[in-house]
Amino acid sequence: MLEKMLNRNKDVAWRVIENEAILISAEDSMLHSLDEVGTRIWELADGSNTVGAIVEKIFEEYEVDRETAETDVVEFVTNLASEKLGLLLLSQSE
Amino acid sequence: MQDQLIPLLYRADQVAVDKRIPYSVIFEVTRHCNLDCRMCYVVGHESADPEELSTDEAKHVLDQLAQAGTLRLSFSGGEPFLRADLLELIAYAKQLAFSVDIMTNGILIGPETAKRLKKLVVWQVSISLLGATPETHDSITGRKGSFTRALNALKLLREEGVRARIKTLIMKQNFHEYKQIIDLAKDLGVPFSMDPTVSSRNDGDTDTLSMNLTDDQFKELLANPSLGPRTLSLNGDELEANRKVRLDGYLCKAGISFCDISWNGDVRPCMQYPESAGNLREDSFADIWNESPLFEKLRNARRTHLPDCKDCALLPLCFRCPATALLEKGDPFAAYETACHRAALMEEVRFARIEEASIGS
Ligand code: SF4
Repeated sequence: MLEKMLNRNKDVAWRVIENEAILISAEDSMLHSLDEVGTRIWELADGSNTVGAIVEKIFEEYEVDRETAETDVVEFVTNLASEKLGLLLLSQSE
Repeated sequence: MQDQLIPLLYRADQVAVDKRIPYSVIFEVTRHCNLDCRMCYVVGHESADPEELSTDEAKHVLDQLAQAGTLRLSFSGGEPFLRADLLELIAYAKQLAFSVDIMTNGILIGPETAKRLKKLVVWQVSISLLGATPETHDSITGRKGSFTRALNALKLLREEGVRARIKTLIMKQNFHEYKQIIDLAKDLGVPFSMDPTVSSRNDGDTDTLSMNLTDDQFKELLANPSLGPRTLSLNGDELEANRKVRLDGYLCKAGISFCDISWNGDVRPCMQYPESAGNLREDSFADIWNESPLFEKLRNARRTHLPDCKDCALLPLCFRCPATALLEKGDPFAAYETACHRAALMEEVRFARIEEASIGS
C-alpha cells in the first residue's frame, strides 16, 4: 500500500470550502464531505505522491505520531478507494 | 475523516447558504435556439448575440467560478449545443472538477454526442419535453420532428448510461397530455419534473402569461399526488408553524448560493431576473458576487421584511418570486397578482384534501 501512487478519481466533482472538501461521486451522485485531514490527503492525491509520502506529510503537518498517521491515512485511503466508493485510485509507482 | 454518506447535495447547499458561496450556477452559453417555442422567454433566440462570450472568455468565466467555490454548473441557453465549442467547454469544466449538467431540447444529441457525454461524465442531461405526442410538442416548439428527436436523445442517453431527465413546462397547450408525459417518463425509466409557471419574456413582454393553466387545470395538477408540493398536506396548525419558520428565511437562493450568467457575461440573480448585477467583461466574478448592491439587497431580505406578505396566512403555500414580482409590480419585494391568485388556489386544494380526509376517516 505505502508505495502505491494516489490519484483522485477524475470523475469526482469537488471543491474545498473553508478547509472542508465536498465531493460528488459521478457513479451514484452521493455527496461526501471530508474533514481537514481528509481534505489535505485528497489535495495531495494528485498522482505525484505515494501513500507513504502522504503519511510523511500528515505526520509533519499535524500533531500525530508516525504510527497513528500511517494507520489513519491507510484506513482513509482504503475506504475511499473501496469498490463501493471508488473516489480515490491506487496505482503502482513508476 | 469522512462523514457518512449524506443524501444528495443537501448539506453542501446548506454550507453554501451559510457561507454565501455561489454553489450552483446556470451558465446560459448562448441565446441562439433551433426551436421557436411559443412561451420562450429568451428574446432574440433566432440568432446568436454578436456580443456572445468567446471560447476563451467562457473558459475564463469557468476559472473564476471554480475559484469562487461553485460546484454545480448547468449549461443552458437558448440551445447550448448550438455552440460549436460546447463539448470543449464541458471538458474544461470537468478538468476544473465541476459537477456538470446540461439543459437542452435534445435536437442535436445523436449517438456520437451521447457517447461523448458519457465519457465526459456529465452528471445529468435535462431534456425539455412539451408534450407526449409529436402533434402537441411540435406545435409548441414550431418545428416538425422535434418531438422525435427529443425522445431519441432521451433513449440514446439512457443506452449510454447518462442520467437523463424530462423537464416539462405545463401550460394550456399541453395540459391534456400531462399524465401521458408521466407515463412516458416511467416507460423510459427517467425522472421528470413539471413546472406550471410560464414567465414573461425577458424584455418584460407579458404576452406569454395567457398560456398559463386555467384555474381548474392548475388545481387538477396540484391535486395529483405525484405533483403537488408537500405543504398541501399540512393542516392549519402545521401551516401556521411553517409560516413562522419561513418568515426568517431568504426569499430564494438567488444571490445567496445561486446565480445565472448570460451569454454576454451579465451576472444575474437568476434567469428571470431582469436586472444585471454586473458584467464579466468589466469586473471579476468575485467582485460582482461580493460587492454588487443587487446581491446585497437580496441577501439582506427576509420574508418578514416583505410588507405585503409578512402577515399573510398563505405564505407557506406561496411561490412568490422576486424576479416575477419585479417584472409584474416593479418591486421584487411586493406581492403580485399571479402569486396571490395561485396561493389562493393552493389553499383551496389543501382545504379540499383535509375535508376529504375527514370524510374518509
Ligand atoms: S404574494 Fe400574495 S399570497 Fe404570496 S405571501 Fe405575498 S400576499 Fe401572500
